[in-house]
Amino acid sequence: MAHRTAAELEEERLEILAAQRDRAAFATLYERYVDQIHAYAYTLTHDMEQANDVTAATFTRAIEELPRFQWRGVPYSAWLYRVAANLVSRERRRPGWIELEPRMLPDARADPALQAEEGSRADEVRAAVAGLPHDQRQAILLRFGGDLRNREIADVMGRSEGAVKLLTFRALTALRRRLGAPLPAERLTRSGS
Amino acid sequence: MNEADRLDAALESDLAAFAASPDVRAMIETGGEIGEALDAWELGPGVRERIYARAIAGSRSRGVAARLRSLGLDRRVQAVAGGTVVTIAAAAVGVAVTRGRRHSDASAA
Repeated sequence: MAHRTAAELEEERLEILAAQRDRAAFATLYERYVDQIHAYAYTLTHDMEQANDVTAATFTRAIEELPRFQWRGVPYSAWLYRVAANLVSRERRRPGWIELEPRMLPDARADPALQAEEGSRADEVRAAVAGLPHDQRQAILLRFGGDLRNREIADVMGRSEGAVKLLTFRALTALRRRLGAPLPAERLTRSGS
Repeated sequence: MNEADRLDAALESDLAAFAASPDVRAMIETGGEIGEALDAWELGPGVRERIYARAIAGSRSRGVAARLRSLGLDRRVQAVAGGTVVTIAAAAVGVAVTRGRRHSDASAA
């Protein structure tokens, strides 16, 4: 939920400049964002092969566009998410597209002991997100996975900021219901009925 | 201010909005949990390297394709220019031959 500070954005601007001068420096940006983009692609497609393809294609485009990239004061991830979102949309428009049931990936590097305890809850949370309707899922991934602001999310999704606000609200209401205790207002309604 | 606005304000660190509604507080808590679960998504080193290698290879192959396309355009231009040169040369040879014939006819006469 923490948005990027001005100092963090400035650091990112310098990293992009460095990558524009020396392609090898792009690895820093890749390392920072590959997990986010992959999680986004997988949670939208529910398919590991497609998530790998979308992630690779997103970074291919990023490398190609790097010389022309112009800094606009928003996180670089906003641009990456937009590319990934377009690639997923293109996949979804294909005639044979079938949305599979969500199958969540266990953490690859986590300590096995911790994974047994914490991984199951993280998997449960990610599965709940993956089960949301497409637009709500996207809004939640961009807000909580990408730490983007409403206007940046709106830009990625091609929706208004008001629509993003409502999608986030509906998604969080549904997720709260699925993952945790019912909301206090719902408890009051239930006890009153 | 409705609940969606209040949630949005609380997500933007508006403490008053956060404090105003227990529902909003609960949703913020869920949001925090979602953030943690998504942050925990981490690809293994092998997968990261493979995806990076694919991205680099993809950008190179597209770069080569773009260069080939531009080369193709150059070749078409060269073909047109070459064709023009050949036509002019052929015409020049034709003129020279005709002149040569006229000259030899005149000297024979």
